[in-house]
Amino acid sequence: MLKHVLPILGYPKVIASNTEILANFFRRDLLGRFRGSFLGIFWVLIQPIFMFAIYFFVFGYLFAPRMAPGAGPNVEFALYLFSGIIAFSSFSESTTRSCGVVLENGNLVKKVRFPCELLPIPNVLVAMVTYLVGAVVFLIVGFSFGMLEVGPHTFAWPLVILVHAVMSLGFGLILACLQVLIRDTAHLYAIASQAWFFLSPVFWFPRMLEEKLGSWSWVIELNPMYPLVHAHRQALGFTSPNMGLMVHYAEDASGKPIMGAPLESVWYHTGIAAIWAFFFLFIGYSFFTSRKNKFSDLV
Amino acid sequence: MSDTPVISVQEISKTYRIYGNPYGRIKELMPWNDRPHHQVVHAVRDLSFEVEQGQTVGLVGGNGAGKSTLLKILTGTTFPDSGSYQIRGKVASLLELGAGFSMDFTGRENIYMNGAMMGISRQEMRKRFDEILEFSELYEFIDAPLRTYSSGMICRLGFSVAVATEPDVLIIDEILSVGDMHFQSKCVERIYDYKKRGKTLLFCSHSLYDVRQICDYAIWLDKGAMQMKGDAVEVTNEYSTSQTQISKKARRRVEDESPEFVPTHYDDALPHLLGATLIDADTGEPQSRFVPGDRVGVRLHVKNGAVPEEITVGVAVTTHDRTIVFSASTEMDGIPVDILGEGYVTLILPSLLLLAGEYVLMCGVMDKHGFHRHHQLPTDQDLKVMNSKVKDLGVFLHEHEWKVEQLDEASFPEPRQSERPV
Repeated sequence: MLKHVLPILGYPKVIASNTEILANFFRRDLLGRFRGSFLGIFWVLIQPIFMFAIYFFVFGYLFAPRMAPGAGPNVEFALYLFSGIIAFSSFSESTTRSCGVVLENGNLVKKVRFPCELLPIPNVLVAMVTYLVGAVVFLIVGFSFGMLEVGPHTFAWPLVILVHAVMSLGFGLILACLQVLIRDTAHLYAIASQAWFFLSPVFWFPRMLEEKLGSWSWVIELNPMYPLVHAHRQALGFTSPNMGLMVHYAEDASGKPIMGAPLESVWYHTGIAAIWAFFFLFIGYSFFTSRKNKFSDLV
Repeated sequence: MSDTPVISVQEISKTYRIYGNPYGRIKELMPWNDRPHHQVVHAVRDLSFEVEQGQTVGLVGGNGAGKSTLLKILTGTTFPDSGSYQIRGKVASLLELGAGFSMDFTGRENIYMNGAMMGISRQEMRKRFDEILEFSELYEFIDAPLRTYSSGMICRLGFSVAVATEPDVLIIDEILSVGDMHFQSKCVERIYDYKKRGKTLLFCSHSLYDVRQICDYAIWLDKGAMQMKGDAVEVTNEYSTSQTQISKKARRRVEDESPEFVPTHYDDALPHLLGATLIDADTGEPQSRFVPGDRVGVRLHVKNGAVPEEITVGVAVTTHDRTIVFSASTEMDGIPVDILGEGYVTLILPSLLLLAGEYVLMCGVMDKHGFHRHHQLPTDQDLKVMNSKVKDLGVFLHEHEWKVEQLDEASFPEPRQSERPV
């Protein structure tokens, strides 16, 4: 067992000794995306602002769930959605990009001696940037509407970000390696990540699903993104249980639905997500490094 | 200098599986599969060799002989199925033009990035930056994105960075032929310089001429297996002999051992030929018809470059199918040619040995190592040899004599008188 676990300890060392390359790649990926466009890096900021505006209009105003008659826009639901989306889309962006990362850098893999287990890292970092910019927009809007609160959960935020990065990286490594072996992976993952998006608590809140699923509701919590998306939300200060967005379904003694029990704490969610994240990293790293010697022949 | 070899390779083999279609791979994974769905290609078979420090080794062999695979293995980008190898010191590889470069970034950014990939820090690269810039001569382009570069410019950048990192072992896969004449000659100069400092170079080329000029040791691979290894001249000679046989069979030309013909392109600032004339060596008068035994001269009108350098002048006599019958160069004969401005260099053949036929004389000016070809030109007129008295067949009259010996007695039947009809 130890023999299989120990190699992963070499990963931080490889990363540390190649920080310069990683920084360059990160810059390349981040800037390369906007090279030649007029607004350049500002697109990172413009995107989430527009996205939030759209969500605000469509889901906070047009299709806001269970609004009291005559009430204003449902800012709370819009924020709920937006926090879920920035978390999930950052994950799916980096993993989708990681899918093709070995093939795209075929030149490096084939012609230059290069530790290719580093290749997914810049994608993760770039996705973290888009996440952070989105989070800043979220925080500004949230605080200006007085919907967010600062508290002990705020200290969980860096931890959540770390767990998120590790999960993205681990899953990215699995996909990158699979894609080299089976070229259908990217197409399959494009569909799967769509499904995954809807299976994660982005559009729905736990109470909604638990109402429908009853005693099977634990199944949805097996989704690794379930604790992670919640952890992001909670760490960002979205803890208000108003409208039952952040509560579990509950019944009283007579079987009548009541307001419900609050969700587990941010620490609990972060913990579960961390277990998943390191599990993925372990599987991904072992899988990737066991096959990487073959990459140059397969690319 | 150390006694242990810089590169030592022990029986490395590598095979590739070639699948006809992507399903083959999956079919083979199935437990009920009973036959292979792939072809096995032996890219490299049981190769063993050692390279001493300071040696320059050339790999020769046809397409698919395993040269590139071997270089890739030694670079560390692909791995042998069996066998092992050790390399002492830092390795830099130029396996492909612009490998590891990002097209969207500027030359400057790419220099640092490439350095980082070879394990050289930014500070260290900053010290070498000027040297790289100077060598690549990309001054005004260094801050332009790489996608605006021509392939020659990318090659210049790649080569400049690779040599600036001061590797102990430099691996080059046939990319020296890119870049303009001026840069090529600089590269060659750099390689000689690199050799002189006792560094090791491993390179593969289809130009046997290049291999002979640069390398002291050569390895000939055929279908992945070692065909021959040893002195560069011996190996390339053997190889070219085998190639000629093949090409005769296949009725097509394979690699050429002659310096490649560079037609009229030359750089005015570099050494070049102004003319090449066949003359009567006694009178100095132009003449193109000769008979065997004549004293023939080939007079080359040479102009040295703006910055005068020591040059090599060479002449190759070829038949019309470009088989070289004879060649000579001042470098091979150890004749120094240092001409300032213009001058004549004349090759004298005291007694023409060629037999009747027409011959093309290709003349060239090269750098002092006889490696980089600045300019080549055929003589104004082809050499026409008329058969006056000699009756032999062939292209040339070899010095020869005959000797007749009887081995055992009375082996030749004596005609008998009695049986002869009267």
